[in-house]
Amino acid sequence: MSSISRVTQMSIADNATANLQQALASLGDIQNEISSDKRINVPSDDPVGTVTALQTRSSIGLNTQITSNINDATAWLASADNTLNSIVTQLTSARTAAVQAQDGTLDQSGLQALSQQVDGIRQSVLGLANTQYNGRAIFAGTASGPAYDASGNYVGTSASIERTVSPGVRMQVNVNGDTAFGAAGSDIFTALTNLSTAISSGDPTAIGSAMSALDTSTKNVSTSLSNVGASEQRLSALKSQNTSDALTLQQTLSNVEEPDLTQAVMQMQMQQNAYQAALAVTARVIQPSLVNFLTAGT
Amino acid sequence: MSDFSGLNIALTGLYASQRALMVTGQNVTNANTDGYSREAVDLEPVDGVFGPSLWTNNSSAPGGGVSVTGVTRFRAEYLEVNAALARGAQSQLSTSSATLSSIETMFGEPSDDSLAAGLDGLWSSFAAVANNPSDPGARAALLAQGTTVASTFNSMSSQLTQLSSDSLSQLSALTSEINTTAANIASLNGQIGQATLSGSDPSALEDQRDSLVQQLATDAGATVRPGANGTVNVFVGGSALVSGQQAETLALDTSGSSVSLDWVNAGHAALVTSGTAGGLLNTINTVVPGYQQSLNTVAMQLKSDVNTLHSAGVGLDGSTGLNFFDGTSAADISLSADVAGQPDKIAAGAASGGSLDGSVALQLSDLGQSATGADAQYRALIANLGVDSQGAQRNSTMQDATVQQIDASRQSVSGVNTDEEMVSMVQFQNAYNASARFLTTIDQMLDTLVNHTGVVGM
Repeated sequence: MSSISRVTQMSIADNATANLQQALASLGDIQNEISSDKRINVPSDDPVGTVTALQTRSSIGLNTQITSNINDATAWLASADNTLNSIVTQLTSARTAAVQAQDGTLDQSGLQALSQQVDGIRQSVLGLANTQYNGRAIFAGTASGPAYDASGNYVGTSASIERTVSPGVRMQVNVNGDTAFGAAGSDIFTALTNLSTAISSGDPTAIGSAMSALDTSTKNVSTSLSNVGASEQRLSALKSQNTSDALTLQQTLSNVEEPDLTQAVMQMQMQQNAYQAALAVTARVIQPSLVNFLTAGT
Repeated sequence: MSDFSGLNIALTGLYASQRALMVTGQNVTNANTDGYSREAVDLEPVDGVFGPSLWTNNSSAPGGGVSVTGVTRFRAEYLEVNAALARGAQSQLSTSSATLSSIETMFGEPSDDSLAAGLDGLWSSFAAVANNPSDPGARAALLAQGTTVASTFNSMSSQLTQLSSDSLSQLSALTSEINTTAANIASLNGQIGQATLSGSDPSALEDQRDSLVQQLATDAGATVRPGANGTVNVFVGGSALVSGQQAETLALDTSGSSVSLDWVNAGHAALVTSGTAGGLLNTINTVVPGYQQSLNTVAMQLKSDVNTLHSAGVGLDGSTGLNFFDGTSAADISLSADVAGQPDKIAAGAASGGSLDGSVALQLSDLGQSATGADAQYRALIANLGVDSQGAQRNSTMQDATVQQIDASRQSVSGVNTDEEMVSMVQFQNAYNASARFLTTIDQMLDTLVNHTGVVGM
C-alpha cells in the first residue's frame, strides 16, 4: 500500500476491520483444528493428504478383514491339524494290530478280536474324517454335506478353500479328503477294510500287503499333516505382520488426519497474541482525529 | 472602481467562505457514507472592473473579490473502471469457491460414514460371505451394506441436483435485481445529464449512480465506460446493458441444454462470465454437471465390476446370471431386484464349485484393491475436488486482496479525511472572520468619509 498517499478514517476503519476478520478467522481455524482433532476436515484442507487418508482408511478396512480371515484360517488349520494327528495315532495302533496278527502265534479268536479292533479303528477314522468346524466338514472341500458317507466313499469336492491372508495373497486353508486319505479305491478306508479281512483270514502274505497299503496311507496323512503345520507356521508369521501393519496404518492415518497438538497449540497461542495485538492497536487508532483536539469557537 | 466596491469584495469573501464551510460540513457528515466522493469548492479571483478612462491604469484595478466557480468531486475514473472489473472477478471467484465448498461438504470425505467408508464396508462384507458362504447373517449384512452404498450414491447425486436448482433460483432473483439496478442507472443518467446541462451540481446523483454501477459489477460482472454529459454506459459481456438513458433487460433462459441469461430485446444469450451471475452460471452449467458426471462414472464402474463377477457366480439356491446392482446413474443405482431381500441369491460361489464355494465372493472382495476400480476412481474424484476447491479458495482470497487494494486507492482519492476537513473548517472560518473584519474596516472608512469629513467647525 505504499502507493497510497492519502489516508482516510474510513480506509483505516476498513483495513482494521479486514485485519481483525483475518486474525479472528485464523484463530477460528486453528481452534477448530484442535477441538475437532482433525487436520483435514474437507479435501481442500490438503488434497494430497486426503487421498493418502482415503487410501489408508481403505487399507485399515482391508487389514481388519484380513485379521478376521487369519483367525478363521487358523481355526480351520488347527482343526485339521488335531484331526490328522488323531488319525495318525489311530493308524499306528492299526499297524500294531497288524504286526501282532502277522507273527502267526494267535488263534482264530485272537485274530478275530484284532480284526474287530481294526474295524473299530476304521469307524473312528471315518468319524474323524467327517470332523466339522463351524458347521462344515473340513475335509469335504466346498460340499455342504459330510466328507465321507457311512461306507467310506468320498462325497466331498476337490475344490480348495482360500482366504486372503495378506493384501493380494491367498492361502488354501482346507485339506481335501481325497488328498489326505487317498483317492477312491486306494484310500485309507479300503486299506483298513482289507487289513481287517486279511487279519481275520490269518494269511501273513495278505496281512503283509494290507500293511504296506496302510503304510502308504499313513505316509499320505503325515504329508498332509506336515503341510498343514507349514501353513500354520506361515499364518502365524502373517498374523504378526498384519498386527504390525495395523499399527503402522493407524500411525499413518493419524499423521495425515490429525494435527500435531504441540504445534497446533503453539500456533493458537501465536494467533491469539496476534488477534489481541490487532484489537489493541485498532482501539487506539480509530478513535482520535483532529476533532478531539479542536475546542469549539477556535 | 468606486469606494463602495470594497463592500462587494468583502461580500464575495463571506459568500465563498460560507460555501466552502458548507462543503466541508457535507464532507464531514458523509465521512462514513459508502460511495461518497469528497468535494471541494473551486475558488477564483474576480477581475476588477477595468474601464479605460483618463485617470485609470492597470495597476489601479484591485480586483472584485472571489467567486465560487464550481464544486470539484474527487473521483478517479480509471480506478472506478478497475474496481468494477475486480469486483466482477471477486464475486465470480467467491461464488465458485462457495459452490466447491458445498460439494466438499456433501461428499464428506474423509470420514467414517462417507462413500469411501461405505465401499470399504462393502468389500469387507463380500469377504465375510466368502469366509462363510452358508451364513445367512453374513449374506443379509452384505445386502444391507450394498443398500447403504447405493443410497449414499443416490443422496450425493440428489444433493448435487439440489445445489444446481438452488443456484438457479438464486440466479433468477439476481436477474431481476440486475434489471432493476440497470433501470435505476439509466434514470440516474438522465437526471445527471439534465443537471450537467443546466449547470447544477450532480455530485450526489453521480455518487448514487457509481454505487449502483459497482453493484452491477458485483452482480453481473458489468464494465463501465464514460458517456456524454457525465453519464456512463454499462456493458455486460461486450453488449450494452445501460446506454445513456436506455436500459436493456436480461431474462433467465432454462430452455436449452445449458442455462443462460438472454437479452430480452435482441433475443440472444448474454456472455456473462463474471460477477455472481457468471459464478452461478458456471456452477449450474459446468461445475455441478461435471461432478455429477464423475459420480455417475464411479457408480457405473462399481455396478459393472460387481455385476460382471456376480452374474458369473452361483447363489446358494443354484440361481445364476443375476445382477447385484441395478441402475443407470448415481441417482438411481440400487440393489438389483434379483437379489434384494433374497440373501440366498447372492452368487458367492463359482459355477464349477461346490455349494459352499465362496470363490466368487472372494474375487468380489478384492475389487476394492483394483487400481481401475470404483474406489480408485472415487479417490481421484475427491483429489480433483480438493485441488479445485483449494485453488478456488486461493484465487478468491487473492482477488479479495486486489479489491481491497483498489478500494484503498479509491478511498485515497475520494474518501473523506476528517483531519483535512477540520483544517479546512478552521481555515474557512478564519477566512470568513477576516472578510468580516475587512467589511468593518471599509465601513469605518466610509463612516469617516461620510460623517466626519468637512465638518470642521460644525
